[in-house]
Amino acid sequence: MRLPRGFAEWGLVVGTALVAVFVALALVGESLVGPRAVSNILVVDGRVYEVPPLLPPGSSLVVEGRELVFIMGTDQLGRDVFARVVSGARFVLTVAFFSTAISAVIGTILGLLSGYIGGFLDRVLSLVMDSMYAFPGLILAIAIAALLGVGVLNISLAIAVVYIPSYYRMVRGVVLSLKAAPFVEAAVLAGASSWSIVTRHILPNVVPQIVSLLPVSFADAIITEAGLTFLGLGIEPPTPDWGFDLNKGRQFFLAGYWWIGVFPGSMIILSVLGFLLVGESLNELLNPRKVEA
Amino acid sequence: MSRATSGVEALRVEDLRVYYPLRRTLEEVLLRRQRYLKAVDGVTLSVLEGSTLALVGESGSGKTTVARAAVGLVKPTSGKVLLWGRDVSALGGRELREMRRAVQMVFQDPTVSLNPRMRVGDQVKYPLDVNGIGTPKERMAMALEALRTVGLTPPEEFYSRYPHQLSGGQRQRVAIARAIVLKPKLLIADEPISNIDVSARAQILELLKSLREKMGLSMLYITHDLSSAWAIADAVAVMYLGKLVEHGPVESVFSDPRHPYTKALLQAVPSLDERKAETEVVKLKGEIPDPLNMPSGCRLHPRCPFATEKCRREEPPAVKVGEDHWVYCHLYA
Amino acid sequence: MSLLRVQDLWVRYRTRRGVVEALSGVSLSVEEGEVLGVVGESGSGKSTLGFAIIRLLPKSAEVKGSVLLNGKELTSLPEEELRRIRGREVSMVFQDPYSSLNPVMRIGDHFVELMVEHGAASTREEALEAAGELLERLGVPRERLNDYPHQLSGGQRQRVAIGLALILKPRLVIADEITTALDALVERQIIDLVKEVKKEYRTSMLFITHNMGLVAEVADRVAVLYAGKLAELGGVREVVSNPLHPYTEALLRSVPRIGGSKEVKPIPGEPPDMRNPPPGCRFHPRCPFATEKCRREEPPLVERGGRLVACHLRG
Repeated sequence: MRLPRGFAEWGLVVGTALVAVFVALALVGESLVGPRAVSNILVVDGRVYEVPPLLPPGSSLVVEGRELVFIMGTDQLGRDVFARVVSGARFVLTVAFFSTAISAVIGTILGLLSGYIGGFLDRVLSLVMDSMYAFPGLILAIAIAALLGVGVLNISLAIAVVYIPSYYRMVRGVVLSLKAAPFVEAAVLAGASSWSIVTRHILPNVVPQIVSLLPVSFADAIITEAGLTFLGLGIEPPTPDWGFDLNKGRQFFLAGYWWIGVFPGSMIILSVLGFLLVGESLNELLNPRKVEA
Repeated sequence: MSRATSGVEALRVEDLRVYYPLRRTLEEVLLRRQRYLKAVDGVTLSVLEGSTLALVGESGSGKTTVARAAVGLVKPTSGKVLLWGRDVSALGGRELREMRRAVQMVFQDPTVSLNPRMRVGDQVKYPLDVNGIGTPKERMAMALEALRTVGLTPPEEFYSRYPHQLSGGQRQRVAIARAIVLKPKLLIADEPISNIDVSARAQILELLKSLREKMGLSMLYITHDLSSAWAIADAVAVMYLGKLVEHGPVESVFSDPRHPYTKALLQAVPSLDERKAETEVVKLKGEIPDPLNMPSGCRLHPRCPFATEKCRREEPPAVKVGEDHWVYCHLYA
Repeated sequence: MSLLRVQDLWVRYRTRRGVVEALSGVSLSVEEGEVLGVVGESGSGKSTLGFAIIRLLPKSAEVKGSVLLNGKELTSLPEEELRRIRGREVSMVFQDPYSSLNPVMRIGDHFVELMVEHGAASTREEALEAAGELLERLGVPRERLNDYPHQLSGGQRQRVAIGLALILKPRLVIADEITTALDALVERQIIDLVKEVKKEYRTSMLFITHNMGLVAEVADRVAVLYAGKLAELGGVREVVSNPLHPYTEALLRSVPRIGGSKEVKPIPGEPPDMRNPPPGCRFHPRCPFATEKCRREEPPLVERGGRLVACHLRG
């Protein structure tokens, strides 16, 4: 193992570290900080205690002889901002994961069919996908989220629809160029069925491209999710969520209570940065551009 | 020295035409006119069983299209492709698949004729998988044997490599192994050595020749390089802009070329020996014209130093000038 | 004094997969008015040689040794002076006739830009007049000066590229595989053109190719490169009829001659991996005459009957 060399390698290391942190938070965060994220009522040694709202970061309270520290302060309802930020990771990343998975699978299948079969199907699908692609993503997501309502699955679907065209276009493009490749012609000459050609020749060459698109698309999903919840769509309080908290924080920002919004907002930025770094660095490392060194 | 042949035609192409319709301008749509790119315009030739026919020409000659039509990758606009006397276009389903196994192709560029994400050995085994030949173990053994036959030894070591780990010459060997694993009877080789390094070219040529002996293959060998045609072929056919200009036994055509184009091609080959004063230097004017603006009559007439008015008006007939040696030129009619 | 004198030239590239030594101590010279053919396959370093002389190598390349053009050391020349020399004293023609011309500039403008930059013409008209005359000589009608590159055929583009290389009347032209991308008959036209240019302009040339036949037609002397080293150098007729180095011999035998034997005698083995060339004589793994000494020691370049050859057996 050696030290990372160059922008791409460092990017990959930093990005992976960030992503790892957020994935860890998503997986275990809630169990670590639990109830403090959704309610200001704490039970300490059997005694019920109400946490005061709008405590600044670094505040500590002594309750029953124990010191409770609120490193990011509390929000307008007395909930621990740090706890909310950590728990929020679960919701955000779950939504991002589902939506990315759905759009990748559907986009790829449609792209494969469209590219390989061609003809009328291809023309119709391309038209539909191009229109969707041209439509501003957030607005489309808002429209669908408003229709579907709240919940993890609904918001995931809303976001997924927006990104299906990206996968479709990419896969279709690769399939079209592969269809004409001599090694596919050789497979046809060997007597291979379409199914065999698609699964053994086309798909393996499409997968690397999909893989390189996944991290970036994941980052996109996080931002879109934050945008939707910022506007109050797709989420039901008191579910901790960065976008939602960012909106709340905005309202209290001018009054001087900056920590309610800034911390969730920073989480959005850092998580997106992490995934983008991973995606772009991987792309750079796997498909190096010939640069005059 | 002619290769022993049964006289049966392994491949026969009859008045083959492959026209590609061009995108029409508005005017053409209104006037209901359709222009075509005539890639192959009436070609008749045959490959005798056990022998090798070289199809020679420059860019735009249509030689690759003829090869692709012979193997079924391109549908003829008109004309017939006959394999051992059977019309290929009449075949379907199971018969077509069986015929497919008897005719295989080696492509020009081994970098793109191999799947970059499949192990080399698996690619050689693939045609066997697809046709359900033998048990998986037997298929593996046959693939290894094919690798050994093309000189990639030890085959076990080469089996698990990926194309990018091999040199150009080795990749082409893999492509050849893949083509012969089904034990075809007819091999179509489309410029198999053009995209390979110089020292590997001779190796591949040598390999093709030895395989031909071992397997009794008939071969259609496409090339723009006359030297390799000389080394491997029994008969040669020269094409220009979609039409045949001359064909016959390679010794006959190369030592006594008749068509001006054939003469020019032979004189164009760089010579290691000091040039003796040629008895007749044939210089063609200009370059290959745009195939969309095909010259009338004899396709070569705008460039031919011997062109007459007749050449401009009429397409030349086939004229016999020797044993099996034919030329398409008004000079000899 | 030779026009071009390359002495002990080493070129190394740093790639992702390691350091490649493209040229390992190559020395040769080109005299006034002569054409030196440089023959080799890919990996031999022949193109690197051309690029190294005119200093068009990528920045990741490390160059050691001396390249003297008319006594002037090119390897250490500052960029400004180098720009003055390129085109005027030494020029280059490349393999691809499509990419050596700017697709959005008319042919005439290519010449104007070049000539005005080097002070060879003071007005546009002057440049176009000279360019038109040269192009006619090279077989391109001067009306083509108004065309864009895509309107010309491949052969015409290559003639234009040759014209650009000659217009400033350089002493040395480097031709790197200039006919490889062309059809057979066009290749013949270009080769005949090169022979005419050689007769008329007496420009020296470094003619790089993988085709021995072309070298035999065009060159006076030939240098055979293998794996970054010089294998043999001598008069072209002598080398072709009586090759000394086993590689030269094998190369000549591996190409079938029309009218001759149909037997093909390939060179066994594969060209070496230039990240890790074989020890001793680099050709030894493929040489039918290799001895223990060939495996251990690199053969020195010695003179043998008016020729230079690097071989323990024949040298």
